[in-house]
Amino acid sequence: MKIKNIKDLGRAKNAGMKSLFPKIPQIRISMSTCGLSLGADRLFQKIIQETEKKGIKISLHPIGCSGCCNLEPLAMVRLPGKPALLYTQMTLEKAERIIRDIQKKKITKKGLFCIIGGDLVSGKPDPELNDIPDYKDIYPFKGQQRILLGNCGIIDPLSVTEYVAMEGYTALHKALYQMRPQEVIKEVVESGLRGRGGAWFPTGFKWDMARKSSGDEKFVICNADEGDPGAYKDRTIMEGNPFKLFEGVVLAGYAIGSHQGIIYLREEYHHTFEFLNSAIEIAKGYGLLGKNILGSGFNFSLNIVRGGGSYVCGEETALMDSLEGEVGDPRLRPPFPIEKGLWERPTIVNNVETLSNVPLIILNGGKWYTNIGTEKAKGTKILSVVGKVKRPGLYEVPLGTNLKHVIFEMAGGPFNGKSIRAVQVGSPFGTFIPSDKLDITLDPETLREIGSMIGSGVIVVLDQDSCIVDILHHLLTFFVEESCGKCIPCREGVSRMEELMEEIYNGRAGMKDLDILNELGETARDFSLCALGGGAPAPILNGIKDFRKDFESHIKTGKCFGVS
Amino acid sequence: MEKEKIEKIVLKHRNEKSAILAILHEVQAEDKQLNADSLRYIALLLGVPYANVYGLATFYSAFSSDKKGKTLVRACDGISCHINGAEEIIKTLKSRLNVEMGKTTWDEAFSLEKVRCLGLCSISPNVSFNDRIYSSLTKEKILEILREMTGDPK
Repeated sequence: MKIKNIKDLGRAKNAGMKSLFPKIPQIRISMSTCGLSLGADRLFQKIIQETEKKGIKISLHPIGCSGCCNLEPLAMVRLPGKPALLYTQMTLEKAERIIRDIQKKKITKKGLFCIIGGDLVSGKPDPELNDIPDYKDIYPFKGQQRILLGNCGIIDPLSVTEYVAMEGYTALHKALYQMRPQEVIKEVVESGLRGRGGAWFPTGFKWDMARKSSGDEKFVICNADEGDPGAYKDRTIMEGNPFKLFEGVVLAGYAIGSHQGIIYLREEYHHTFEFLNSAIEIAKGYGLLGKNILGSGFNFSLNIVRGGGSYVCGEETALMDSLEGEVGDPRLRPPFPIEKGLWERPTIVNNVETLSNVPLIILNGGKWYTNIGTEKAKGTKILSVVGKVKRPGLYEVPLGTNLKHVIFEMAGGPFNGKSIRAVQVGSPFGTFIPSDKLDITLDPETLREIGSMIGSGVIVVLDQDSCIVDILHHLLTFFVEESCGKCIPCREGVSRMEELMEEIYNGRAGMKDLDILNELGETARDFSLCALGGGAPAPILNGIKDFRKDFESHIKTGKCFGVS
Repeated sequence: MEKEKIEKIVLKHRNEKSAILAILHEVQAEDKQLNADSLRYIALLLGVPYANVYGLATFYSAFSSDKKGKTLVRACDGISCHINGAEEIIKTLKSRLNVEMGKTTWDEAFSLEKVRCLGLCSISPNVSFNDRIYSSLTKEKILEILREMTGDPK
């Protein structure tokens, strides 16, 4: 079925609503990479077997991850006319019990985590569920503003109709039929949307320049080379709601006058690659990619290119080298990609999270978007809180949310009665913030003041047992491995830093070596060609200042600070 | 790898602009390696210098000229895995498979590699065996998985 006009869109919406609210019992299992790694596929098979054996008719669908992978595998269960219920850390036994209860038309109370109610997948309130919290009142969902992740873990990610039922493709229809490309750009400019991959460049501004660049062939590249260790938000969006990303990519193409898009996906995401390829084929089948999109006459093709496992290829110019079949060496700028990008054609490179914001902005208007966030930083940011906290996971919060609140309230703070030592915010390039300085708001300006950044939104939490010297050394080994080797400050400088850190860690260095480490760091920071060598020294330089005792302890005793 | 197989893969991608990475991925997936003969033939078919293709195959960590084992074991050493005990998992893998990091076992059953983040950071540490990832690992769990994989009751 092709969706060619507003009527078709309405029909798809009806079909989607029927699929979301079936007249028979419904079970949905999270089947993203994370769910699969914890046995969701076995669970899915078990449910098919059990229901067939018992002769129960149910509506069974896969869903994406809602961001709280530590609660996986998740099951969303709904009896006709009742609210949807969420069960966490599912096992085969739990599934059997739920199916037994479905047969008795009964709600399984044991192991029930929360009601997925509110504005998402509602049903009539049920007195039997009075003591069960709504997802909005319980962590990890409480306090989040899930404009991007909202449908992840609710809709079947490969169902176009379910996405349409959640207002999907309404923005693209509006843009293609009612807006000129310049008007699309105007909304994005007005929204204040900035690049979520870490560079924080104004998206609308980039698009406007690319639109004005001359040339009949232009490219939209979606940067899905989510390389920052600790980050997996892009994977969650791609596996949880791929059509939203596609809609954003097509909108970008329409805005700048491009007909070709490429998703550059990191090599490590094997399942995501297969999954996105299926999603593209499905979107083509509905006429949402390819020729004559939504019957508007606009053509846009999208394909996926897998990277080769190189961190530096997340940098936009290295990424374009990689797409051109070269090794990923960052290029000198100017010329900027918006003038001479991929194969010297005008090109925009946007992150998955950035592009996924666009349909919302077009649908609700740029002005609506400015109501979210702070005066200067607009919108939400998906934070990936990992490390020593009770509830590691993805947290989508408005920019300007307090860091301490995110760590101690939303993510539950440290476990086993331990205390927090330091927190790295933003990316591997972010500095480690000591525990007494966490009472700050998460927005680019505040973070810049303390030498940090919002980056891709990684928040790494270390507790009292973590050794800063060990972590910094580990970081440096990463940078050394990933340096492309083109410029000397990064290739040689960062390597020497890593060697020195190893000596320090093993107690074979002197206090004077800290000065050398500093000097090497400053040189690499100031003279490297791209952000990898330029950014790598920041956590080290700040670490020497803020955690001097850790360094001294290793230099003088060869042991971690606080260990006798 | 047989020339016919390489030709088939290259032909499949003939209309794509950014085809070379995909070609290398597919040849390696089938042959478990990218040896000099394959690379030379890919270069010839695409009409690019061998040096370019060789450069790609050595620059990207996903490619290797060494023949890989039947099961590719990739231990994640991203920051979250590192904090949550990846070191012990890696040590266990090395000793139980009796193989160094980056190497293949004598019987070509397993190759062990390190990756910087499989993207499952809130259920770390992670290890992938070919396309199957195992999460929230402990030493006991990884031993159990290895017992299953190797058939060795140790």
